[in-house]
Amino acid sequence: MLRDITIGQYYPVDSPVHRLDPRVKLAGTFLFIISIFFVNNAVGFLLALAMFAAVVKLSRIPFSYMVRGLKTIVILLVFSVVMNLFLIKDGTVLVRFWIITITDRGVKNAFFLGLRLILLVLGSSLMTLTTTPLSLTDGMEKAMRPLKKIHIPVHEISMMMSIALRFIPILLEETDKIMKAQQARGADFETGNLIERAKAMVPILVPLFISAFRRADDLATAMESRCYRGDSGRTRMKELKYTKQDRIAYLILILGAALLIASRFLPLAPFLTNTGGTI
Amino acid sequence: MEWMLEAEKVSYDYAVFDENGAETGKTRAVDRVDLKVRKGEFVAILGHNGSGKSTLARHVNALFLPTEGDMFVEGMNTKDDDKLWDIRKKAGMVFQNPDNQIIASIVEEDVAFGPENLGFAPPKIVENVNMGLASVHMDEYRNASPNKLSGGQKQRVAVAGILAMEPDCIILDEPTAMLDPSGRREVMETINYLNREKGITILYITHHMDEAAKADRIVVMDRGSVVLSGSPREVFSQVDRMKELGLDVPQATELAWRLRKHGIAVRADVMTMEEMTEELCRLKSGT
Repeated sequence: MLRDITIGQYYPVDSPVHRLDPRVKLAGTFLFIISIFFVNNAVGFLLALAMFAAVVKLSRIPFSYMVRGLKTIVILLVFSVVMNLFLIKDGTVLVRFWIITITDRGVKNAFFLGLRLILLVLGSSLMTLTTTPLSLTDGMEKAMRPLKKIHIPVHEISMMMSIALRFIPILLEETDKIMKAQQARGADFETGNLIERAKAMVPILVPLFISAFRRADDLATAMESRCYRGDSGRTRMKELKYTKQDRIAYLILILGAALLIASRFLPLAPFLTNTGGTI
Repeated sequence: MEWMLEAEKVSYDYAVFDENGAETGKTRAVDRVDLKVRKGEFVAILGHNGSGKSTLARHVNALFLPTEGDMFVEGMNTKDDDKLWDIRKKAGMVFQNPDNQIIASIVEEDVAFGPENLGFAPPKIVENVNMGLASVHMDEYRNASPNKLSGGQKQRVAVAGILAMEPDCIILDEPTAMLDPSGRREVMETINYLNREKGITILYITHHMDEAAKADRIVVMDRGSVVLSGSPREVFSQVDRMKELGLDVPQATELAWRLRKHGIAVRADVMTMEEMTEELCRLKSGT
């Protein structure tokens, strides 16, 4: 289960999407996320799905690999869909059973919300799958460089992020190892209620934290011995430069976002739109 | 200058803390060590846990500064703040845990980390990364994720990362301690190649006798001091002294030692199985 998280895992293939400047992909992801919140009808969602599918196809990442990243939000997804389904009481009643009331608005809300969540997670994991964490943080560093003038430690933040990303899989593996070691000695993580299971996790966290601190210490020593001294005098092997492809990608992205936002103003039959409360 | 490294009466104290974090005393980890390493030499430092060998190694890279005495790297004192980055560039360090010294999520980008910190121009960085990866035979993994590599491969990437900084000396602090036998062999072959072909000075910390046997010189440390020093043959032939220090000798040397104990006149400085076979054949034909 711990190995299924794909956020922060680079998928190394060569594709037009992989080759894009990380700043384009960052901007693209933000644009996509923002436009998704503007979309409020079926046409818009179909459009968003189609655009997303096209980019995935272009990125040459197997669709099944992408979907695996959704496993981690299954609970959140089910929870919010169910909440919307049962708690929205206005609109035409479809089913009334015991204390449960399902209205057409509830169904619509739940459906659109679910779609929106899925697109959000897939959209951001597409960015991390096609961009190496280091070039991603490079992109952030460069995009946020103006903030340095107001004393925001842009370089340090991006370095911390890239290290965090590098250590996610290592710490996951370690958690797995500790769990197995404790299971071998009779620890039980699978039965009992939620509180009991949460309690069983405490003995995992303690060794995990200790080891994380030790790793941090080791890594700091290793970085220092490789002449790391923050931002000063540091050059980059691959200095970021926009190419023609990047400019074209920007144009396509802006066009796509404009389309998605415009879809909101389409005159559509009311059963295709969701004008109620959005989360 | 002839000397790569010179340690002059280097001592280092660790502060000891009690449970409340109050300092209760000091432990001397390294005690008045004198050590000189020639350029291009391959020196192995042997010693069991707590003998101060790792602490001494960290002095070379100026990660630790001597409490007393001085450490010189190519004539530069490690206490000299202005020379700190020159020293760390000259003397690169490879650590024990392969996972905890790889910074980037792509092999190539990790190798570039050192030269980037040194402020090399981008074309020069690319050239050095290529050279580093080629020297450790990891070119084909340049775009791989370090998580997908074996322990031995990760250590070779770490070595490549140091090589890309163009060092004159590499200090390896038990680089094979967490590796399986094939990983150990890979790393040893790389080290031997760098020493022989590229003339890089090697300071190799280990507790594997067979690895130390490949060095030009072995320095044995115990409780912070250098207790034995000499060619592998000289050091390993003192089997009794080594055992006293809680260290082993290579298997063949051990066998020769036991045979001699039983009054069989084989040479005491046998180091490999081939030499042992020769000795035994000589004995048989002699009698």
